[in-house]
Amino acid sequence: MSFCRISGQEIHFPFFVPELTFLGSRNTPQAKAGISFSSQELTLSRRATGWVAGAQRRVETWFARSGILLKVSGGCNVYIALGGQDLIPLKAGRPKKIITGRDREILLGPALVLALALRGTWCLHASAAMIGERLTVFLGESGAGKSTLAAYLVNNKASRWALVADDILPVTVSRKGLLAWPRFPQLKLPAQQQPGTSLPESLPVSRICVLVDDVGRAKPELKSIPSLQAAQVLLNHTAGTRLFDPGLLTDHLAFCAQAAKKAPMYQLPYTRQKAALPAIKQALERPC
Amino acid sequence: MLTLDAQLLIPKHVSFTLVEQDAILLNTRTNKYYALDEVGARLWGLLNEGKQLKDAYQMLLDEYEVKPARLEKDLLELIDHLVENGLVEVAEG
Repeated sequence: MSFCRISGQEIHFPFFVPELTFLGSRNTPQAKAGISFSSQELTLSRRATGWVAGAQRRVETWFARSGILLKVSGGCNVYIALGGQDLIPLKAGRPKKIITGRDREILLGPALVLALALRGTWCLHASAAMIGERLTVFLGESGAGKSTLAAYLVNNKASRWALVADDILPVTVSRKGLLAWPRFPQLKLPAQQQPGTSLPESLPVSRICVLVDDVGRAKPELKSIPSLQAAQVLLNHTAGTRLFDPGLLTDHLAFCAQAAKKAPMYQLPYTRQKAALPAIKQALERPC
Repeated sequence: MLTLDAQLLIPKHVSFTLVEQDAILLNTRTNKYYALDEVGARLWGLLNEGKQLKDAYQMLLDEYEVKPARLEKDLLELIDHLVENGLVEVAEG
């Protein structure tokens, strides 16, 4: 067994996962995690098709009393204990002994997102960067430029920005506000560039910017988004919701309503023209 | 034809949350979300408390400055939309 603290949650795996080395994944003498369900008690909860491990795949969630079985076409099945604390890749109902790169992408992709959701931590499809103590989360449709913008802010000469997330950002709500949990494997980045390595376990989110396509506007200006619309944006930009059962969907809805009130959200007109990036950076560095 | 005398039921697969004055409904069977404005959210709150549509209409009439015929039309249109999307059921009989 190995365990790893991911986004503030202890998660157990039946083997060492190299992609988690940067988080201090280590072996534990703890007893093997049990898989306690029979195929007869499984009921299909959700079926969806999405981009998983480099291809469009059908993903199903099957529920048992003790946990969830995630079935991914062309990949391994993963058992997720109901508390989200154990993730076990399976083959023919038994823990898989040889794990491929694709299995690890399933494990650290939809399976981990679902496990964290079961523990009340929701994963936004987002990039994020911070300047000083101000953390800005970028949301937008796939291909809208979230990663490009974050990379520009961070890699710019003499930049004071630091990367926090590139693809997935786990978040929770607390009495103080919306919290980001950046110690999460960003599968788009190599091990040495994982932003979570050098960041605190949690960070308060200062604001959320939604990238909207806006070709040709001279001055990018942040425009405030009202709470109802903000909650809808969060609902639409959370990873893995198509795998949630009704109970999780209800919890997630409540989270989005709360989160919309905890962190201000803005519309950021965004063009992918390189020449526009300095003005966007300037707009982001202006005090709100 | 739906009237204010209709007996409405909120199915178990529908979740609801308030966002300030407005609200979001979720049909957990279809994974679809629906936004309600302030008046719609208030109506939903009343139905959720077990009020009959006719009573809810009367309460809304007292709370908002609106002509009775306009409110009736708007409420019935909204209920129609909710029924169509599986968010409310009309009880038989």
